[in-house]
Amino acid sequence: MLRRHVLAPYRGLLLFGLSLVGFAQFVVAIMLSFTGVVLHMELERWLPNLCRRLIHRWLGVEVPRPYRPKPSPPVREADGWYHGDQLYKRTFLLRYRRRHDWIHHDPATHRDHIWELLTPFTGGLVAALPVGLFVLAGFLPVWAAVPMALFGLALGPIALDAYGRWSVSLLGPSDDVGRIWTWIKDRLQVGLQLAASFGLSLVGFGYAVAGLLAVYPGLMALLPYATRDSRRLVNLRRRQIGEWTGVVIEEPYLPVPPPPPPRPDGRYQFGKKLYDSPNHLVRMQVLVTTVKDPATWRDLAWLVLDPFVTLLVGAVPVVAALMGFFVYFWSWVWSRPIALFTSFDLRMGWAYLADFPGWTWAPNWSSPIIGLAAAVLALFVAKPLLRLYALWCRLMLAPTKSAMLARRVDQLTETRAVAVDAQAAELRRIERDLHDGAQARWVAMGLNLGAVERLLDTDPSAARKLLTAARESSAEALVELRRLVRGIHPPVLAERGLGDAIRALALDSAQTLHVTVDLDGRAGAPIEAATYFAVNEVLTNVAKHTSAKQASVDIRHHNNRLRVTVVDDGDGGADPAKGTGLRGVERRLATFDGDMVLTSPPGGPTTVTLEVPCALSSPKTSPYSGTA
Amino acid sequence: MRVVLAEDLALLRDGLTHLLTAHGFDVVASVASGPELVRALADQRPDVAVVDVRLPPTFTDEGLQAALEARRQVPGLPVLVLSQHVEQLYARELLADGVGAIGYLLKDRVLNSDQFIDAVRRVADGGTAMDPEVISKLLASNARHEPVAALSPREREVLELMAQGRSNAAIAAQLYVSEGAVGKHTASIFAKLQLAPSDDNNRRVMAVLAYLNSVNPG
Repeated sequence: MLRRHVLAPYRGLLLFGLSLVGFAQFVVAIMLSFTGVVLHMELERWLPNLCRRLIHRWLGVEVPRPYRPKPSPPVREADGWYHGDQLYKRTFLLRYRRRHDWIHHDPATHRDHIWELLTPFTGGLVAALPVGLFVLAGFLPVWAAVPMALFGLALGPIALDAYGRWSVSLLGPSDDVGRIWTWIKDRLQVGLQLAASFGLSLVGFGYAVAGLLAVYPGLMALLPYATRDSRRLVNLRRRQIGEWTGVVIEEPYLPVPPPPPPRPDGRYQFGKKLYDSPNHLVRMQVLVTTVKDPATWRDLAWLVLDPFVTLLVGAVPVVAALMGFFVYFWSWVWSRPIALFTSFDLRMGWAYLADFPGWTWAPNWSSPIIGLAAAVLALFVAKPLLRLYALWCRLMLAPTKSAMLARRVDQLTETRAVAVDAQAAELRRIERDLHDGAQARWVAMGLNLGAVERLLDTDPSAARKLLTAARESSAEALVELRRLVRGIHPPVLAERGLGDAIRALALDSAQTLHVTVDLDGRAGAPIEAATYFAVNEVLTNVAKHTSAKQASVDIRHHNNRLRVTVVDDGDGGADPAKGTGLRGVERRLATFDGDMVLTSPPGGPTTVTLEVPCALSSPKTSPYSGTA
Repeated sequence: MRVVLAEDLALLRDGLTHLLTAHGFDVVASVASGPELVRALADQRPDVAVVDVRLPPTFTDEGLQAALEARRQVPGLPVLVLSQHVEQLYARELLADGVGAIGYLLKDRVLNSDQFIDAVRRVADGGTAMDPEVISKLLASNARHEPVAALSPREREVLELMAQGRSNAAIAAQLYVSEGAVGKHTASIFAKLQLAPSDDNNRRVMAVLAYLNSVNPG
């Protein structure tokens, strides 16, 4: 007990000394790391490791080493090279890079550095406090010195404990600091994006000027050339903003209509003029479309305004944060130790905020504080600022409601044409089947019955034969009608819905099909039918064109989309461009805004995913429970 | 023999009533909708029910559901299900309880009145009557699998008829062979499918159907 109290101040003093060594080592390490030397970094870990051991011995707290395992030595590949981010003949560089990455990407390295940087002013200082009290006591009269020394003695273990807590929080295996570092890095990246936005806005301004010049009367014909390039830039920005913030901005431009057909005399008419080649017409169409497209003018407005907006949300905050941190805080931190040894002033005349006109009110001591505060504040507002900027861009660059409607109309026109074609083809097929099948059989049946009528009295045995034939005809007609009905709308689909209809399909299939269904209700009848026939087509393809022995069909409804996934164990390599079947499936699903995705790497497996947006009706409340 | 009949088309309902009455059945109730059928089955407890799959009010599978529900309440209640189309899926559900006394036929089969009446009788006696189309689909989806593929053509024919629920005598009559020959074939089929032989005609059919249904899990 007493031993602990007696030893604690000495131990504390030693730890404080080590913290000073750590600080010195950190400074050296940072300087060395600018030269690219990293070999020292592993050696550098001796100090944190020593302190971990001391904490374990003196405080009884085990501090596991948090470092990542060493990288494995490079292995020469069969081609005689060493593989890394590139090919290496010798291992030296590769080993160096791996060690560099290993140490540099380990969050524990950064935690060690933070610990080395701060300990002399925090935990280390606390640990040295008892000794400090003893020293202080030496200057005091006895009546004051004794209690102070006793106080120091009493404080010893507590101070040591505080040092331990501080150090464990950084030297122990925790990803807290890693998380904070990630948080800061994320914000720094956003800062970079804001700065980049400002830079690109200046490029964009060039296009804006070109666009504005083209608006000058007489130069209008140049507008498409100006917009062609500016649209490329603006599209890049749309994509970037989507990637950075998740604010999706769709491309709003109107498509250029297809060129008009030539007149009967082979010439092309535009207004009252005739042309031999369509080139001029196409140029005029592009020009008219560009001028008419509201997106052209919205782009232009955005390009003109963008430098000012990005200056406000991007350049100013980033510059303020950088100035605040480096000029007023960081240089202040370093100017003191440097000033101890040399007369060099790191701040080079930027000493205080008060040097700025309008900031004369700020006392000198507040400069580093305000600087740091500005930097921290910038970290906090970076993301909201970028998002604000993204929203502004969406306001300007996303398709207007009428543009979206125009596009939707185009899409609907196209899918409607497909749907009408498909329906007409379907009706023709039914008509043909009825005509050649059931209808013909009934004609035969009628003829037979007519003959029976005549033969009944004269030749009953022949009449009997004809009657049998008539009955067989009627049975065959029924079979054919049934097949026809199945092709129009499968009865199971009507009776049970998609899941059971696919199950019934699977049971009749020659392959082994596993069907899983997860539906809470039934989709609309047209969607059920389209999906059913689509799956049927896919399964037919699997049976016809692949070596697959097994396939699985998964049907589920999620996020208001009905999704069917068909996976087979065949050889893969299916190409939707080759077969008209899958193309047809795609086109039919498009009528319902659905789509089909086929992935079929050589060697398999082939996966076909069909998706149709739809809502499910609640399941039919049946008086019978169970099997339905 | 007391029959409950459920069929929504009046013409067919009357035709079936005449046919059944002419063959000595007593049609105690003939109904046209699902709810009526449920009531009739509960009230009359018939010796056999002849039920159309698709009935009002929903025109989905009301009849089938009512039949299944009735059999849950009265296990082994003989039910012959008629439909414009036959599905392995439905056959499976009807056979699932493994009790027998089940029939599942296309409506077309009514045209051959002798065979239809035979099927009704068989079901009423606790046997099975599966439509040839169901059975041929069932065999087709089993055709790739080893034991079924190993059967001889004649054995496949016998298996098909047996799965429909025919007795050895009926199979013999259909194939123009002796009953003894059919017996030999069935023994051989059971050996190849590795099923335990059974003298009980009905249990034998159920075993075959269960076997055929087990291969393709759907």
